[in-house]
Amino acid sequence: MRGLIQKDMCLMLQRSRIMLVMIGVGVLMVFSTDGTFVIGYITMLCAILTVSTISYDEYDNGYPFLLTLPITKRTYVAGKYLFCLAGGLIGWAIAVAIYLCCSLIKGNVLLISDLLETLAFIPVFGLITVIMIPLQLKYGAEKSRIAIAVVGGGAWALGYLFMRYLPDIGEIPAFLSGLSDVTMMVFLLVLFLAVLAISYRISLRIMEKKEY
Amino acid sequence: MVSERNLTKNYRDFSLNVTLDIPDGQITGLVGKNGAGKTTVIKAMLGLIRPDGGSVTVFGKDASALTTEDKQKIGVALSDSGFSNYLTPADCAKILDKMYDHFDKPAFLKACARYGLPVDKQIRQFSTGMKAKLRVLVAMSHDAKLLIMDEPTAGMDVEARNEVLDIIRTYLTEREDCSVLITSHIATDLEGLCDDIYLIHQGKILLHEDTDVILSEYGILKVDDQTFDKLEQNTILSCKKEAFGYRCLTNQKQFYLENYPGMVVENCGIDDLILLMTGGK
Repeated sequence: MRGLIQKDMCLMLQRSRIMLVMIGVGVLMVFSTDGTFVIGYITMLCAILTVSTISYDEYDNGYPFLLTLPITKRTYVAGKYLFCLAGGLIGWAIAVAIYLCCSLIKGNVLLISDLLETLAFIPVFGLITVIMIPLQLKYGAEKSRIAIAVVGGGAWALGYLFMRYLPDIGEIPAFLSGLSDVTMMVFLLVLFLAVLAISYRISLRIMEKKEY
Repeated sequence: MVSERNLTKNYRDFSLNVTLDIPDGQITGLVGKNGAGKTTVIKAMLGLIRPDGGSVTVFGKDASALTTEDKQKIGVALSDSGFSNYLTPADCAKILDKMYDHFDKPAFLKACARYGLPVDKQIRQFSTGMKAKLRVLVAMSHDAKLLIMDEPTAGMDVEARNEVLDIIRTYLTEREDCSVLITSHIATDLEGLCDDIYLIHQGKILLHEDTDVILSEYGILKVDDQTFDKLEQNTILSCKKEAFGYRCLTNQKQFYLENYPGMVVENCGIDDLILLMTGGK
């Protein structure tokens, strides 16, 4: 596991310039706009960068050699989830630090609700990450982009159909907006953990079934 | 150390069916043309593919059940797969250091310098020979008891090939208990290296013999059509029609030298063996 994390870190460091540019753009964003958009922006970019290490593993037929190293397919999957979620979390922490520092420099007053809002990004990026990982493992770098678009489009279409044809479900948005921030956070966290468990099992199956 | 018993693997246009052993402390060569099934044999050994039949055991265990501790004892150099091309040898050293209990980082970096591999340059900027040297050095960096090398010299010029063979020889001289499987379609590479040779063709083992026996007892007979008709054919393994007559492979060279004075009997190299066993009748 340690070796796999080290490999992914080395691959990420190859893209340190992109990360520096990303942080620079983030700082400019905070100064030019209000709100917490920058947190979503940097966190999501970090999540995408970490998940893209799967493409590096796959690139140039890298998997056969990787799986001859002293790791199992199970360790590989666990390491990938750990690295991607930790990477996103670090990105989120950097983004929040930039947001708070720049807000203080600008003289903005920070409310508790602002801080809670920043926390809401964690389960959201987590959800997107754990949906992307099995798609990348199954379809590879190129096809997974299409797969992500199909999954996103499918989720939107499903939501639309439910809203339109099941009148009771139409009450859900109003119900959700009525929830307190804390309840909403707990709801998102539970949803994230449920999707994580399903995603992890699917990723394991994908790796176990594949031949190299 | 490794045993494949009636291993079968079926693809749409290719079927493999082999029985092969790599004894403890022995260097085994697997030769055959491109597409003969050499890489499939290796992939089955490493648990990268699931056999359709038969068994593959490594260290006495089924290949699919190898633990991380077992894999610590295996060094692998694959022909078409290695560390990401975006990494540097220095990155590889950091990764291997965390992966293997017995990785010798200073020795690895020293070997990289010795064989002209810049440690801070991305692998994608390396030549074919440099990439192959790195793959071999990686396989030998952690005191492996079993080395599996798939075409370690493929696509290289003579100098680079000799250097890679030199790396392998040096490693094996220092570790006499190490078992090795090397595949190659350039058989001369294996003549001075292997204890025994398997010849694979179209997914089947055509021949298994000690290298010394091949080099000392096998021979090539060059005969015209009339002599061919009178020739003792029980010890002819394969023959091929050529412009002058026939070119025959025998495993009883001495018999023909003694009983057919005047007949052209040449020594047999492994390349001749491949050509005649896979292309003759």
